[in-house]
Amino acid sequence: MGRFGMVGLRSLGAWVIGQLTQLGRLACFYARLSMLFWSAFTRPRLLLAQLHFVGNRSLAITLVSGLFVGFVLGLQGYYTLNRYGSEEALGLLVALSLVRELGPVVAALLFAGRAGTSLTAEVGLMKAGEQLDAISMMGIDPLRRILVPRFAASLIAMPLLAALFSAVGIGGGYVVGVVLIGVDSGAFWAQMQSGVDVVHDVGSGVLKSVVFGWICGATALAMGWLARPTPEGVSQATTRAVVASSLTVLGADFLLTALLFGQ
Amino acid sequence: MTEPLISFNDVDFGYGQRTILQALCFSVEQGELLAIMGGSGSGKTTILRLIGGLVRQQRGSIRVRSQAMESLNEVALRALRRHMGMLFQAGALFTDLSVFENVAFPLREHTRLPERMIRDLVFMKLHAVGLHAVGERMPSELSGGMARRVALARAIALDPPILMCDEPFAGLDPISLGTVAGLLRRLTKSLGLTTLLVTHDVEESLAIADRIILVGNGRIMAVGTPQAMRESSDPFVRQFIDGTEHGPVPFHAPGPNLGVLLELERP
Repeated sequence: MGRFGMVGLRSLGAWVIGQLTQLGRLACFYARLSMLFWSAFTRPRLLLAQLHFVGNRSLAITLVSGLFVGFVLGLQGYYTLNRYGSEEALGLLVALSLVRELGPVVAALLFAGRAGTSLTAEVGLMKAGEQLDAISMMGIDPLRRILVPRFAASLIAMPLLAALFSAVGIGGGYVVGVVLIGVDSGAFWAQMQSGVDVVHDVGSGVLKSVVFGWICGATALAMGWLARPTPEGVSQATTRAVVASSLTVLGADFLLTALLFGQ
Repeated sequence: MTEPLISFNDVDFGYGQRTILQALCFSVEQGELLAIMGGSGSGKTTILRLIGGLVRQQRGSIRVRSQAMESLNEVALRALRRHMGMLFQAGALFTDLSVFENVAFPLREHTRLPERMIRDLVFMKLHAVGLHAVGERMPSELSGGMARRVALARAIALDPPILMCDEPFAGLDPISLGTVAGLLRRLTKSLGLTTLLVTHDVEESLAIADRIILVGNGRIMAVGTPQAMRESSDPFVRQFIDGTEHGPVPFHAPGPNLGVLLELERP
C-alpha cells in the first residue's frame, strides 16, 4: 500500500473512531437523561415552567396546523369516499388518520421545529456562555438541574399536543365535511364512535407521541449539550437537532406502526 | 507539617496535541491570596479549571482539601465544589434570571433558608460589590464590569472557603477596581478564605496578593512575594512587571515571519 493509501486508511480509521465516540457519548447522554426522568418531579416548579415553555408556546402552531390538516383531510376524504358512495365514513377516516398517524407525527415534527430548536439553542448558548460550567462549579449537576426538567416537559407535553392536534383536526374535518359539504352529522360521529377503538387506535397514538416526545426532547437537548461552544457551533447544532429529530420520528413511526398494526 | 490546601504535583495538561501546562508543581496554603499571572494563552485559566475539576490533567496529581482530584467520582467532585466559588472570565451570569436571582441561585439550590433570609444575604453580597441597587436588572442591562461584579457576588454567596477569580479586574473602572481588589483582600483575611486570582493587572496584584506565580510556556517561571517580584532581576519577571515588549516573552505569537506570509521572504 502506498503512502497515500496509508494516509487515506488512517483518515478513515480516525473518522470511524470519531463517529463511534460521538455515538457512545450520545448513548450515555440518552441513558443518563432517561434514568433521571423521575427526578424532574422532585422540583415541580421547574417542571411547570418548562411545561409552559415547551408546551404552551407550541400550542398555537399545533392547533392551527391541526385545524388545516383536518380541513384538508375532510376535503380529500370526501372526494375519495364519494366515489364509492361511502361519504358517511368520513368521520372514521378523519379520526383514524389523525389519531393513529397524523396527530402524533405532525405534532412531533412541529414540536421539533418549534420547541426543539429553542431547547437546543438555549442549552448550546448556556454552554457557550459558560453558564453550564458555572452551575457545575456550584456543585450542582447541570444535567439534573437544567436538562432533566426540559426533557420531562417534552415527554409530558408531546402526547397532550398530539391529542389536541387530533381533536382540532377532527373539528376541522367536521367543519369541511358536515358544515360546508353537507355530510350527515349523525353518520359522521356514529361511524367514528363505532370504528375507533380506544385501546388499539387512541392508545397506539398516545404511545407513539410519548416515544416521539422522548426522541424530540432528548435529541434537541443532546445537540445543545454536545454543541461546540461558539455561535457557529450552536447554529449548526440547532439545524442538526431538527433534521435528526424529524428523521428519527419518521423512522420510529414506521417501526411502531409495523409493530402495533402488523399482522 | 499540615498539607497545603491545594497542591499541583508534576501536572501535564493539553488539548489534543497542543500542550498547555507541563510538569506544573506548586501549592497554595490555607488563607493565602495567590495571584497567577502570565501572558495570554499561558494556561492561567486552565489552572483554575483543573482545580475545579472542569478539566482533568493528563499526568500528575492535583490535591484539593486533601482529596486527589483524579480519583473523585462525579458525586464526590460535586461535594468538593460546594467548598469553591468561581468567578468566570465573562461572568457566566444566567441570562434569563435577574441580578438578584443570579446571586440567590446557589443559596436556593443548596440551602433551605427562608425567603426573607435569602433576600437579606443577596442584598448584602450585592452591597459588597456596590450593586445592591441593580437587583431587578437583567444581565443584558449591565456593563461588562458590572456583570463581573455581580458574578463575584454570586461566587461568594455561600462564603466558600476557596475562591477562584478569573480576571476579576477586567473592564472595571478605577474606583470599582480598587474597591473589588480591597474586597477580595478583606474577604481572604477576615473570613480566612483562600483566594486564587488570575489577572493581568500587575499593580493591583502586587498590592493585594500574598504571593504571585508567573506562568509562561506551560511552566511556572517565577514564584514569590510582591516585594520579591518588584526587586527581581529575572528578565522574565522584569518584562512582565515593567510591561515591555522586548524580553524573553515574545509579543508576537510563534510562527512564520510576516515577511514570509506576505511572500516577501523565503521561509
